Amino acid sequence: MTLAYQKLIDSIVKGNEDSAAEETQGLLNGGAEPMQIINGGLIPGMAIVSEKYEKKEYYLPQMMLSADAFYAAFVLLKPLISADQIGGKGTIMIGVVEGDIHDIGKNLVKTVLEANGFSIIDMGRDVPIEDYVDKVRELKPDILMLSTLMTPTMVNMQRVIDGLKEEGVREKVKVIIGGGPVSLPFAHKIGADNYADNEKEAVKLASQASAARG
Amino acid sequence: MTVLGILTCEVLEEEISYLLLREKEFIKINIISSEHSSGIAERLSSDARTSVLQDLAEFQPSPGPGMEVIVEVLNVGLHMVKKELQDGVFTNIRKLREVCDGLLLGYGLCGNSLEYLEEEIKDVPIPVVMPTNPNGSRIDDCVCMVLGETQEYLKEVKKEAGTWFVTPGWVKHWDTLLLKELGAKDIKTVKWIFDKAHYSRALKINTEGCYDKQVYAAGAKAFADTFNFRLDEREGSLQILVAALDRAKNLARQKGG
Repeated sequence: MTLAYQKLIDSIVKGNEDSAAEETQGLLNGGAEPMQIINGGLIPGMAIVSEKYEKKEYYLPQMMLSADAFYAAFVLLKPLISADQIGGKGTIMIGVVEGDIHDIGKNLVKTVLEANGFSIIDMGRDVPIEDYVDKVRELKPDILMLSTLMTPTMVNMQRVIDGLKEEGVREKVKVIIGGGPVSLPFAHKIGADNYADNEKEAVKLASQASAARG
Repeated sequence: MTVLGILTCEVLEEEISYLLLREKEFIKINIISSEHSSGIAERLSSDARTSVLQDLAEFQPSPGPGMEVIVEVLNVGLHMVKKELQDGVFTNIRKLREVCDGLLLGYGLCGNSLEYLEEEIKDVPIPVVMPTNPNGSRIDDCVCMVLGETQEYLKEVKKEAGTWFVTPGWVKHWDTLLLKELGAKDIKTVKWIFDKAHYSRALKINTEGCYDKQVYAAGAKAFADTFNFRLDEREGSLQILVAALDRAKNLARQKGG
């Protein structure tokens, strides 16, 4: 690994937006390919951040700063990536369920999925149940990812899935859920396909689903 | 003598104090001394039934018929790490079972940390009561508990999802809780996170707990002002806790004979 890539990784780990953008621009000026920068700098950087978070060396503020640095670099690369590279693995619709505004985790998952080659439809936060149902029918994503941080609003994940069933579109989309109080048994209970504990797991599950589609 | 245990989070100290003061059936109220139980001990200090024990080993059941209570208070913020809350609650349930005929928990699901409570304590031979919604489902947390039921929480977030719920316990502990929960080094960092998290309203929940209403109002306003939230208020209810205490008393009585 070159020093420039190590500096980009360090910028993301330290959550330094300006430095992450500068290092990315420097790599581009030096002739590096955008996907090479994503795979050699952005994703390894964020993997270190996730590991630190899991080990409780990092907390939410550090995670958020690193996600900002990641995004500052990614926005420079995104326009330069060809359509087949950026959305080549399929389309994911992602959002926080009705009654919940906690979208920091969702935004992190979204950014990392995008950097991993998925096309993203971001529904935002506190999204009414019928909006998910309407947009799944209209935009036909491959995967719907739903998130909540609060136990009372977990019921709205069930309602979205029930809505998809009522509209006859449940079988056309994989549903993956996530968020602090959510678990795999809960996913099974409400009829979701799977549960992701963090952004790495979300990428893994989405990639598996993509590979299964062929 | 029937012995009822109450194992509660410090965040409910005002509500639990209120219930204990109004509950005349208890002939004695034993509080296990700790820095976390000092609030309840202070609230109950003028009640002649109150006795502060240095630890559980000091407890001797009163002779004769009737019911007495032992109160153990755990620190706020355990819910931030599921394992910490589980360890704290399960360990203390097992300690209290040695001397109690039944237990009331001052906890809800708490971010689903206690989702598998029954399985975890299936070896515990006394009834353990967790507060429930009127429909029998377990209550989510201290906010839903004092709102009267989970449906009330959902109604409020339907009105405004960016609502931060304020209770007397929150007013007392919010700075500690936020700094610890978010891993933030100072309130400025918390503000930065809150700006990104889209909160807009603080909702003060009023119940008949024994808190000083002026201190509570001033604390709620200080919290809202710190983060530039609009401050609203609404009535809550202690009915869930009252019902849970009644249930725990009945089960303990049956167990204790």
